[in-house]
Amino acid sequence: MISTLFISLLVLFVISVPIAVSLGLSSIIALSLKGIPLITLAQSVFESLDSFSLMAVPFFILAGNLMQTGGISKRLINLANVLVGWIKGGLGAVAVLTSMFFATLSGSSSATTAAIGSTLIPAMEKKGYPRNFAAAVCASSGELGVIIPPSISMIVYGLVANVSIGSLFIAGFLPGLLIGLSLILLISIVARIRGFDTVSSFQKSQWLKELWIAFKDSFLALLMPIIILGGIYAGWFTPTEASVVAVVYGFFIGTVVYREIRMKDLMPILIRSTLATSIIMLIVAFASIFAYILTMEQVPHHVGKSIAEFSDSPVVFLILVNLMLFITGMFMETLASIIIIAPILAPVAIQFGIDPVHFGIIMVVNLAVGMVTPPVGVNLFVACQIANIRIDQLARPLVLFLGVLILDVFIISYVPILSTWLPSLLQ
Amino acid sequence: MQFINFVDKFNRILEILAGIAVIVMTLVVFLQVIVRFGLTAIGWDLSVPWTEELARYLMIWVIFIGGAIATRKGKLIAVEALVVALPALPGKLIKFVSHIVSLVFYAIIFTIGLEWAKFGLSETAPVMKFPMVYVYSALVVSAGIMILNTISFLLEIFIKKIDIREASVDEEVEDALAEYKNKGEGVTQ
Amino acid sequence: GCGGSETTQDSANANNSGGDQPKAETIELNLGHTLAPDSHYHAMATKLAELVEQKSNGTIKVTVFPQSQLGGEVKMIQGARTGTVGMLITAQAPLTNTVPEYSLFDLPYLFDSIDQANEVLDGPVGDKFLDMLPEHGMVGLGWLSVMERSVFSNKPIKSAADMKGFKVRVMQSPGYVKAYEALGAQPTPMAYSEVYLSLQQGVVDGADTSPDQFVMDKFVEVSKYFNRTAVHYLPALVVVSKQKWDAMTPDQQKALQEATDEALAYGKDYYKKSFDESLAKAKEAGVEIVDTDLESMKKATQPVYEELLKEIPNGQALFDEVQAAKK
Ligand code: NA
Ligand code: NA
Repeated sequence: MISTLFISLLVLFVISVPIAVSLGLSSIIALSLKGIPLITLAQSVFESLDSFSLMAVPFFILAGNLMQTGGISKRLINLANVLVGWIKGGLGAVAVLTSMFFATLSGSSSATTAAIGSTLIPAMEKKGYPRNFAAAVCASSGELGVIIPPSISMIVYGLVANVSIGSLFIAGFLPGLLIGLSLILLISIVARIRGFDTVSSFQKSQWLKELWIAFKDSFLALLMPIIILGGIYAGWFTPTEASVVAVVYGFFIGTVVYREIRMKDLMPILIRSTLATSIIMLIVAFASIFAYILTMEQVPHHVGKSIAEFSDSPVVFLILVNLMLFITGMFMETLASIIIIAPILAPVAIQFGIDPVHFGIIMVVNLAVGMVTPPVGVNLFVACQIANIRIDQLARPLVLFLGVLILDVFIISYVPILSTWLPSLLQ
Repeated sequence: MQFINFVDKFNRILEILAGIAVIVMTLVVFLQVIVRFGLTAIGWDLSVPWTEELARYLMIWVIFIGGAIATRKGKLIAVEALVVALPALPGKLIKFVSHIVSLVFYAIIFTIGLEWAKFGLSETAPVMKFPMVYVYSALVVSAGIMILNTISFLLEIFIKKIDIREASVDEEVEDALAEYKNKGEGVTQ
Repeated sequence: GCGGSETTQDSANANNSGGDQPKAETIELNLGHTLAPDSHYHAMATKLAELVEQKSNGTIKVTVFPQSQLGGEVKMIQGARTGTVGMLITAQAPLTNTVPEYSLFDLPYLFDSIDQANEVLDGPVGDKFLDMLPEHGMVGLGWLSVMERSVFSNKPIKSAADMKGFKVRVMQSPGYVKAYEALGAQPTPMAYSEVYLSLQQGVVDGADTSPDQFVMDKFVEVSKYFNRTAVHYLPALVVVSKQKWDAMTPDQQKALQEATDEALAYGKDYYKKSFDESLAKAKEAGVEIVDTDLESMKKATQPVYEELLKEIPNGQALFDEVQAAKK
């Protein structure tokens, strides 16, 4: 039964049947074999979608799109440029830092990549960066979009594994910081060796003046994460309510303050966000019936048992998890992977004594690397389109970035305090 | 072709309806925040238990309608690695088979959806007290539109002689690039 | 202590199935519930599985799925009705979507104590409610203990006056919302998984639950007070899918009913013990147990009865029957 379920899923995946359809259809085959009425599928689908917490997904997607249109990204780039643009490899560092800023507003990685790439890839090229290197910078720093809160991946993990989304959000901060800093370090080393993007003149008084102007200009954009995340931790609202506040705030800034969203832009933004949401949520919906069959067949239990028989060491377990998620991430879209894998592995992780919040961060960070690994990686697609290059042209510089990102995954996996310290401060 | 034009107009209407539903969702949930966070602070106690329920049910409709619209351009996320790696003929053939498999799936969902909508007659919404058929019928409606849209998608490919492997649009990439394409920024060769 | 009699029963059944009567087909039932493995739900369910195996001579196999593994209560109820879920333990509230009469138990202060509520439900009134289920595709096998729901919080609730402006997370049933509104509180919809952080951060001032879940779900870590408000007594019952029930032989039905009855008695004792233990544990963890003035609470919530009863089919008559059964 279970082998039929997995084999049919795999075959459907391989022949490029949509992920949502593959999940639903293989479940229908399994239900029929077991003689369970197919209406179970509808029950599972509606139970999974009928969730108030899930509403954070459409709202954070919409907020991200409003922000992208509303002129916030260029102000953030400007600020980052003043802050770190003058160091060696500074513009690459600007890309990373802007990604970190933008990540506090957006729940998605592809949006983050696009928001910074469209301005910074051409700018980097002007400063002597090879174009493929510039694209690799944007693609890899874009993954911070789902690691620094808010994060759609974390919302979905929280729902699937029944972990507090608020705790996951705050747990993502330090890992995000680690990844951001390690990427900046890599870029400045490469810039030093290859001699591009040399230091521009630096005058302290001039710099402070520019910093003040850039800060003033981007103040309202910077205020947003403070309202959203501060609001969650100050007890003003839940993560779901925070997402709707983000929408209202992003709309307000884009239309009233920066005046870059006109009324005629609104419907296209809404429709884009709706489609993006629906496509993700259909996977959530049909994965729920798949997960239901797995539970009925007690698959998580058996997986846990066989891993435990193989080794009782949490380190060995995590190495297996890292490997499996890396391979999955190469071929599969991040959210779909989380939805399918989290219900199987999260209970096992708890058995191994791993904190569920920490495990969530491991999954999100590990699968986020998948957005930058060929053949299937949404950040790569976005960066390549903006840079107007082919994916294979990106391969050489990408190897360096992947090396650093994988190192980060290991650090985040085996140093739990990076993920658990901030949530513990709330107690 | 007239049929495809009609389908596209129909999808356009659905898009706008979904967009409006998202606006209502936003307003309703925002109201809930205002009521608890804002009005309580000024000593005005009010509760709006219907906000959560209404927003949830709207979201369900938006997802099913949005998902159905996405099938018009083959936008549902799929693993394309094999299709791209294979030579043209087997690649195209497999891609075509995958669309037919999807059609079969939508047809099964349509029948399940009918039964489910009927089941909805025997349940009521906990707060707003209307029969759940108003929510549950989203499934059958969505499956119906998916069938219509997938047929249009295949017809269009056939008529315009488009390479079926390249006909699908990756919505997430499109979405991320929408703004950049709008402004025509970026790199040119 | 009943091993002897069961052995005879076993051999009797074995004789039957070996003789001229048609052999009962083995029935597999998935029994789902939403609580943790150390809950009274689970204790009762595992007991039931064990007993029914013996009593049915191995022809009924029950597999227990705790912690919502088969879905939430609404989904499991749907599953029982359509025959995809064999058995479940559910609280009464999620049944109200399907059987509106069950809303009666959403009334605040309908009962005065756990014992009183259990007695009423084990009598003719309880049977009457169980008899409403078959027409909706379910068979009710019996009532587990009601759960006394009180408010845990970061502000003490000494009397109804302390509920003014109190932001409380409760179930979104009208009976719950209206009751807390009548107390001057502000009932807030919120996902259960967000209650912990929300209470910690002050998004809400409190939420309602039973002491055992208060401890099991670690709310002790973020609450200063457990106020014995006892606003609602939430009944719980064991339901079997009518499709599955009808597929059983009379002997199997009898075995399942007997096993359930025994397991329910065991589950009720278990709840009582865990109720007292949980209050002690909460106290140990530094939570202050507040004995709320119930008279003021009852008085404040009384006015909602009329409005709520109007919404329930046969509401007044059912209410009167409960009152009469309370003696
Ligand atoms: Na983010
Ligand atoms: Na990948």
